[in-house]
Amino acid sequence: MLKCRDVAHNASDYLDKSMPWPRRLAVLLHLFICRHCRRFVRHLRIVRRFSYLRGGQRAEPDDVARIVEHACSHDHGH
Amino acid sequence: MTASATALPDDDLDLLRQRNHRAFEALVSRYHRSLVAVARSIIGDSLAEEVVQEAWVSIYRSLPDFEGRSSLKTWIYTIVGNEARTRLRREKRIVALEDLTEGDPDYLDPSRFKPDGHWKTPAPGWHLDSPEQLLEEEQLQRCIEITLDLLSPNQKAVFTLRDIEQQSLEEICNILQLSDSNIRVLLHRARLKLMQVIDRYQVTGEC
Repeated sequence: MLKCRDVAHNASDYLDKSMPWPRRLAVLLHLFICRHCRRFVRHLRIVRRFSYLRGGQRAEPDDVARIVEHACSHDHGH
Repeated sequence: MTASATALPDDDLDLLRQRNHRAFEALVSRYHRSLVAVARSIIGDSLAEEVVQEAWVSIYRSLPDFEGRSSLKTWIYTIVGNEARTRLRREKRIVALEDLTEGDPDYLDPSRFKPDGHWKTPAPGWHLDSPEQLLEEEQLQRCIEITLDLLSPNQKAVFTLRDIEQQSLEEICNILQLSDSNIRVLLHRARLKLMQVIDRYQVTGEC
């Protein structure tokens, strides 16, 4: 039977489906009986989803202008 | 302003192939910072910006030839990864291998568990219990930004590629030239560090 420590170490693999199905089943059985690990995995799932929805930060407009100018001028000179 | 990780519409792709300036500006705006995070994990801090700037030149030049065999996103990340490694070889730099256990998040600390392996200090309850609620917290966004900047370069690169850009593990392996198992460890640690920040915020309202 898995311990909470095992679930804590492997929770991302479980959520990403990056573990063999017998191991996934073992995690699922543990989650069925352990409310602390259910909360832990739920929070990790929220973090994953939150990160995706939040997205990446855009570059500053000045940096974008500089990069585009550099790329275009190098292309014309090429 | 954040950029949502959605696929590029087909008409934008056509504009990019024609090297439309506005479309290229939008592409740079959307991806530049993430590309720097990837380059930083390969070449280090001091040369990352320079490498990505030169990669944008290559990308701009090659846009008409983009065939769509991979997504545009994967294509530009691969170009940056390759250019960073080329520069690394040219500089004959030795970038210290990142210790995967360095700065382990608290959640994996043995002191959080009893000798029998069960939680001694389990995760605290959250009153903000959905991604949408978390997104509304401006102060939390600042905390997250600080935390992301403090991640190790490899953790940040893997987290950016997987959770923000939704690249597959196989694509990340190719871009960063890291093993699948290393990537999964780095990703888990990055996520747990964010989870800790959110824990603290939920309890104290601060970072």
